[in-house]
Amino acid sequence: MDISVRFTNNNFELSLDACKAKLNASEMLLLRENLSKELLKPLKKTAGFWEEQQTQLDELKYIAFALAELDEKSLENIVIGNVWCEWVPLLAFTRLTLPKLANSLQSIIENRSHKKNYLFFANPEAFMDQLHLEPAISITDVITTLTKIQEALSDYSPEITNLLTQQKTIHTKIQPAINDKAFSFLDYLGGLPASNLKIILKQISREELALLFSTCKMLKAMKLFNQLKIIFPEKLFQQFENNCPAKVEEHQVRSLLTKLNSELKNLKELLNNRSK
Amino acid sequence: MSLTLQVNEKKLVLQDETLALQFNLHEGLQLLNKIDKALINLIDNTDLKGKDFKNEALASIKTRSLNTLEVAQSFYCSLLESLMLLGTRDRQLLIGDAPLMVLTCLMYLVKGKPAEQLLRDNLSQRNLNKIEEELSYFDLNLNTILDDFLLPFFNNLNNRLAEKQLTLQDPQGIYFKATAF
Repeated sequence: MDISVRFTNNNFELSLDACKAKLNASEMLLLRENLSKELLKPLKKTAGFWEEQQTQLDELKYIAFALAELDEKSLENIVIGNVWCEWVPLLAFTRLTLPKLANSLQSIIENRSHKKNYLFFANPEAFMDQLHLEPAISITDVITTLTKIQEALSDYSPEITNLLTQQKTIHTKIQPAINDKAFSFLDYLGGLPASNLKIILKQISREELALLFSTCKMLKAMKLFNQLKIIFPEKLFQQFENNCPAKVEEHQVRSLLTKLNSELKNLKELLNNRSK
Repeated sequence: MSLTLQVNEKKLVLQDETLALQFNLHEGLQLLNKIDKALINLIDNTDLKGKDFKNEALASIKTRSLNTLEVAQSFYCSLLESLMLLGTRDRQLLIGDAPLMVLTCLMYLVKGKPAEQLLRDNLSQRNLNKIEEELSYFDLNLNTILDDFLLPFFNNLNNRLAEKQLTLQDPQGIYFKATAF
């Protein structure tokens, strides 16, 4: 494109190939401003696009967790029975989060390519080639694949339906609900006499303790946090405080609550027996 | 007359009441560069009539918005980050096999930014040495970079985009890789 900008007779003459435009000074400055603004964000999706995709993925990822529960044979049956779902994006998505499922998917696709029935790729080398040369797979592709799998499994077998329902309850519960529950529970623990709280804390592992610190930080459960500060030696407390991130996955919160709840029950029983 | 500017499918659209003109993002950079040149010429022109405008233009170029070099740097950094999301073979075709002067211009624009490392990772040590040499000998200016070297590079990329052989993704997005690193 032939581009020129000239100033004549108090106007700017803009010519872009055969198109010409006359702009006064302030129009020209406005154009310049807009142009540089657009060129600074050339490939950006609209605001909120990726957040929305992440929410969609969060709603669908239970399907991956359900597939991870299956034995190799059942998984293979589903995969080869539904080649149209395009499984590679799921393989990419689970590579870090569910590596065992990713490996199973990889060997299923590899084996099937080996048998030369061209279900996925002409041969295993072509598949490995594809994996290594593959561009980064966008979250949008993962959502498409999961949606297709959801459709394929919608009326598959009673076992699969049960498994999906079960994984859905575990993984799509909205975090705020569990957070509210967790907060009030931790708040309750924070209100216990320090001697009783100590008994509970003695029963949980170091990992669970770290999880407890993280959860307190994440939910700002200050009552319990202050109690922990009193109970633990200063050095140990600081060690936990500094090293535990204020972010905990939902399933971790759940398992921590279950553990603490059962220890609380034991404590109550112990106290009951004592008072008898 | 009023001109509006929009971005549509990674193209710029300049529109007035009667017609719309489409041009690509690199041409947008060239246009920005030409506008700056015209403004600077005007400012340097001593028999300028509107003194107010002169001040406004100066403010626009020097303080209010980024200068074209900075916009070009930022643009090519995002572009490189986006190219990194392509498959290995496409990256090799576009970057690894690009002419030395194109690579030199890219290096000039992304120098000191995180994208510099991305570019380095895609080049052989031999090419990197040659680029360093070019950078120390040549006095690059934005006109030459945009009009002579990066225009063919961008046009080549643009053709492949138009033929749907490639898609450019938002480098700030969420992506997964099928292979473990």
